[in-house]
Amino acid sequence: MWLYRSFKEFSSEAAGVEVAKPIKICPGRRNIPHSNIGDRPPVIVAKPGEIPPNYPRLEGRHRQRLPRVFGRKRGRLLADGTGSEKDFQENLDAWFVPWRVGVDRAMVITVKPGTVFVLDVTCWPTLQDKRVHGEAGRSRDRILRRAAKVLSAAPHAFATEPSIGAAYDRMEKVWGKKDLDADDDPQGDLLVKQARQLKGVLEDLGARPRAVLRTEHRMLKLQTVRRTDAKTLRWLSAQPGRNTAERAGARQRIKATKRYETVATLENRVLRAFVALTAREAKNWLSNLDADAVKKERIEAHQLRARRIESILRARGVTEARHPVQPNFPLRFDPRYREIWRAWLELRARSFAAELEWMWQHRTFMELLGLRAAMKLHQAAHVQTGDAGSLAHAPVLGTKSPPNQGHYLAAGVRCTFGTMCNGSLRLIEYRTSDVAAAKTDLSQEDDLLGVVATAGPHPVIWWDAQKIDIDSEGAVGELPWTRGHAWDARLERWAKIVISCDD
Amino acid sequence: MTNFLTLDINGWLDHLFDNDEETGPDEKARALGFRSSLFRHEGTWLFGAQALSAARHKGPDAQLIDAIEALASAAGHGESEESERRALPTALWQLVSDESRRADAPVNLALVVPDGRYLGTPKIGKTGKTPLEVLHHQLKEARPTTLTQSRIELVWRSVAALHAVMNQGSVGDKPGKVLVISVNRRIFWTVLELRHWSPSDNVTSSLRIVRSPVMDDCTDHEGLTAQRVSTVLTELASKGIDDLAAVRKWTRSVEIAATGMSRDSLAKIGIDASAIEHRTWPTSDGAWKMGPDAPSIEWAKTSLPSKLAKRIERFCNQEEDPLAIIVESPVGIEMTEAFESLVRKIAAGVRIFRAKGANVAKAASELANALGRDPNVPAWLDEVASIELEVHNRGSDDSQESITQWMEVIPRKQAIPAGELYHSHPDASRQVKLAPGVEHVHLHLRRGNEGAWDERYSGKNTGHTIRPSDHVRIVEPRARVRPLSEEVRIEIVEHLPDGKEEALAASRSSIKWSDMAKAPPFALRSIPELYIFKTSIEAWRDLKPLLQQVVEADVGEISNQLKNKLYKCTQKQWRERKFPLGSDGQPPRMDPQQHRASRILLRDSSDKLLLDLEAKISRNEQLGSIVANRLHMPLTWLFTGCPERTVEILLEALMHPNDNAGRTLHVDNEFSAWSIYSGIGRAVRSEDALREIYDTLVEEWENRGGQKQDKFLLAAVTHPMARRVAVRKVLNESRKRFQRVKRFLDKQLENLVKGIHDPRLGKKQKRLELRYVAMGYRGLCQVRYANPDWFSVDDASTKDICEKLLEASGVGGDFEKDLVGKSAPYLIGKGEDPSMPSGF
Repeated sequence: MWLYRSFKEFSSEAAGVEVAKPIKICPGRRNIPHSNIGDRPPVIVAKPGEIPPNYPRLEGRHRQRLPRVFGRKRGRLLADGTGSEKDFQENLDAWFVPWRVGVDRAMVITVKPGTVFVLDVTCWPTLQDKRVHGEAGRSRDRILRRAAKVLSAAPHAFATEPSIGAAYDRMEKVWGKKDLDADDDPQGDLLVKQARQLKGVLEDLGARPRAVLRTEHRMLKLQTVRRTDAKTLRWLSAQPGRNTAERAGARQRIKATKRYETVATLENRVLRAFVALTAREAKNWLSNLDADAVKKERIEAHQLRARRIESILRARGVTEARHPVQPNFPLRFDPRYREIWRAWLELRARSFAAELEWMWQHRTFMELLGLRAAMKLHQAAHVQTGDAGSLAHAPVLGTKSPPNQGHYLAAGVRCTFGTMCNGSLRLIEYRTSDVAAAKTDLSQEDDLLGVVATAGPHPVIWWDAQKIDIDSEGAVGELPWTRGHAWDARLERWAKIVISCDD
Repeated sequence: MTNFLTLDINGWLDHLFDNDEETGPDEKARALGFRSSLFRHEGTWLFGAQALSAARHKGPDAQLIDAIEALASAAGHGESEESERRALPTALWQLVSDESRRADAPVNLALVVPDGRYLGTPKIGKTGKTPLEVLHHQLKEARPTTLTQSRIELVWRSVAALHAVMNQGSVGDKPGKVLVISVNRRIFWTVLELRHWSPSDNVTSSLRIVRSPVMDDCTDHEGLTAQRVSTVLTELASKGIDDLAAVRKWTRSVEIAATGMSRDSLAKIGIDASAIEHRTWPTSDGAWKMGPDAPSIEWAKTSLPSKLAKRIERFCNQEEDPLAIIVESPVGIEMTEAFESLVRKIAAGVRIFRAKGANVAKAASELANALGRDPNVPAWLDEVASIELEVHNRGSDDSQESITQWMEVIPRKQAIPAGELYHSHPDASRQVKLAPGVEHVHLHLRRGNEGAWDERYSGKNTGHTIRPSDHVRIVEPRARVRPLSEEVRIEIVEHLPDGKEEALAASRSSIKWSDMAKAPPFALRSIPELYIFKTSIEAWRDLKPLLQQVVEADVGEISNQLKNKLYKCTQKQWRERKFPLGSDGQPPRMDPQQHRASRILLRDSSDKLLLDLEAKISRNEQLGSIVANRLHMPLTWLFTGCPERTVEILLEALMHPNDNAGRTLHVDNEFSAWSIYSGIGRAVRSEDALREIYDTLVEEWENRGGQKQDKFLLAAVTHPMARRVAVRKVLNESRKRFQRVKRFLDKQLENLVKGIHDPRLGKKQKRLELRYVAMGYRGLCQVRYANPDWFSVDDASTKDICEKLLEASGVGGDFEKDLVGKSAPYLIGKGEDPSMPSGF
């Protein structure tokens, strides 16, 4: 079992560009400091059968199985730079490791029972991190959202256009649309909505949170005892003495009930959890510099309100509720807390979704790359020769619950292109890495490990292996829609080679 | 604007309209490809171009279903499997759920439904639902739980086409009729009306589309597209392509060639005619085969289906206000050019418009949005077919032959906003009468238009059994219509004398049109209706002051003179056949308040007379026989208005002649006995009293030998028989009792025929006896509702009785002859059916 420091390192070696030095994973628990791992998620590589099913897995609140990197054939991986042919035969498996979860400082991954490593991720970028902002002033999460929009537009385009060609044309339009992510700010919109809706409720709750009377047993002076209960009597009868005064002992105190008011209830714990989350989310959002001024003002006020309530609750000993919470009566029926409960669930779901999108961005980008490559192939087939086009196309369907570990499409893009070559029909099969197909279709196992898509018999596409210089292989590095991204030019070149007859 | 995903599935070039933000305004209506099909890919039904492409990807074994056939299956047509029925709804919802997920809001589904044969006419199938309802149900069933908020709207293609043309503003604002011809896989046509309509009087009316479910279509091979397709296929075959089935299945090249459209116009709807996919198809060995380029075709002369040509001619010449003709075809104008010129030739002088698929889809989306939003601004109006009820119209003179006529339940030319339910409004002119005593109402209804009536009957089998009454009921049939399914429910509302109305007490509150039989029910010719009195206001006016006097007098001081007056008054009325009270014991119908006052007056006065009678009896007063008779005769001459207690007292007197009652009322006096017997007959209503008469009194007669003619007993026994519903219950209780009564009547009839009469009261009253006997047999017939075999129509003895009765009628006057003439046929099942409602 090996750990490649990043996907770039992994795919570079797989594509045969650069030889990497993976870390060998040994049994037992091991901390991996950030100096060893860099600031990008690593890739786990193992021989088949080495890691049992349902492993490796991510621990923590997003506990889940790690997704596999597509393909099985070893390629040039772990060839020790010698490129010795014999090593090429054995298959390998590889797994993605997610990006940093929220602002967690460590990431625990159980590779297999007994083998655990803890990654120090303090230096990894978070969702809000400025360091990964694209050069065009777009933040990475914004690009991610744009990618999501393009991907989720695909099933509809393929389902409703009169032909596959028209669907690709439509996707081309969506891809190039300038204002696709113009006013796309789900986080901000939700915060503004909640600020507007909950203003009154929060003011009210800050002034008078719901309090209840609780009873506790304490040693009380005889004259201050207001009421007794079974426990008091049991205690009293167990004391030595002939009468109450004797039983009360020298300090003249007995154990009796005392009523006191408290706000430490489930509904207030949920309230605290909500305001804490609101404050966090608002802070993150406010760090976005190019925000709309009106929105900013509202969210700032909302954040202030949330913070004040949080400090009040903290001072009165109310802890934060932790998910999952079974809503009690006030949370379900009290008009004030009902609002809070709903808002909490909504905000949680939103931030959870954003977190998930962030964690599996590698896979989203790889899926996007696969789709883009198909678009380019289609374009090339049309531009280059009138007698080429897609003969058959597997359906493009959306996943049931997007995003599914970064995937927006239920299955990868698969199509058969046909070109007329010297009077006969030449077929080019194009297919991208495919979660669904990997389970059922054994032929997919023949693909090179780490490859994004294959077209025809040979040409493959790699991601994040920029230094590649083999022309027949498409390889792109930086993200699309950032300044200086080389996606389209490289893919175009690749598509031309694939389509051209002279191979 | 609500977000709708609108689909137009026409079997030729399907269209879709969505409100997708990412598409430009011109791209919202898109073609879905020629003859779009459905394909099942790993459990998911795919639709449109993607389905064809996926099937080609799967390989030559893939099963493709044409969308239009899937639509027909979903509408319950043919013998398709359940999975096939669900294919289209599932595929459509898949599209909708993708769209709603992206839009983050529920998207609604609208479907343009063809007006053709399958869906256009509301024919009720095996399931008891129209195809349109089945389709709607299937769509609703297939709707995923996450989309329960999504609406389903069905829009008629003809209406959408007219709306699309109206959007262009070229139709104008005049009312009139528009013939919409749809040229799709098949040709179908319908006539819509543009009518000024306003939801209420104070709203100005505006021009609305009125749709009535009358349409027609031609056979498959007469369709323009079908003809062109076969031309293309012949051309391809002549070019040496032998694999025509594969070409048809895997490519849409035949359809593309059949449209005859240029490449540019095809490119405008997103179809690249030169694309390689239109020329290739997979073969069974896994390879691909390539066909030649699209052939250029010399089109043969187009011809109109003869039915359509006739319809256009009729539309232009016979229809009132022919406004325009719309030729609707999804592919645009090139293909239908020749077709249109043919239409133009026939329809000289009528404007002709064209509607394209994209415009129709867009118009349908607008209509779907308007549906159910504001009843004052309906999307379109649905014509409600008129419904008529057949009623007897008896002439004022009873001897006249009764005639039947049709009465409107739903008037002509009614239209309601699409999707709403029609309720007929209360209308006094639609009130009809139900004969007394009938247990099954036989309604004969018809719906539609002159010459094309859909006739239905309700009867015992369809379950409209009502609680019989002693009196005529005034009822009003009301209709509820759902134009979507054309389902009609007829309910009958009874108007009570006090002005209230309530649903007629019956075994079911309303009858469904589809439940009613198409054949007339077995006519009830063996059971006569009850014999009743018609109240007369005049008679009531005469009686009223006397009753007033009774109420005003003290109990002990009701003078004999007043009682005499009362008796004479009612007597006089009887002779003139004018009755102050009806068979229901109530004064004549007038305005509800007066009616209530009259009832109170009647109740108070009769109570007072009864008190007087009881007081006299309990005091055992010695009165002269005439005075004694006047104690009860004013009461019993009120017929059903007489309190029950009176009958009990009179029966008591007969049973125990030596007790107080018997002595006070002079039972031993012949004349007093007559007034008691006949009084019982007139006033008896309760079942207990009837049992007493049939058991004790008739048994006594049998014990006396069972041979004697007894007109006194006849009066008591037969008077209620022809008039009271309670009799049939009492007789049905025991066969013994029924036979005892029958024996008594048989003997009386026999004596009558033999000329043996009862000589009491100093005269032989042949006519009276005959009348009583006839009434008695009318009553016996009533048992046939429950026990037809007790008094069988086919029995020889029954026929014998019938003959004897007719023979005996010789002794009667005109009234008796008429009575026997009408009653005797019932005995042998040849009477007149009383179960049809009668008009005024």
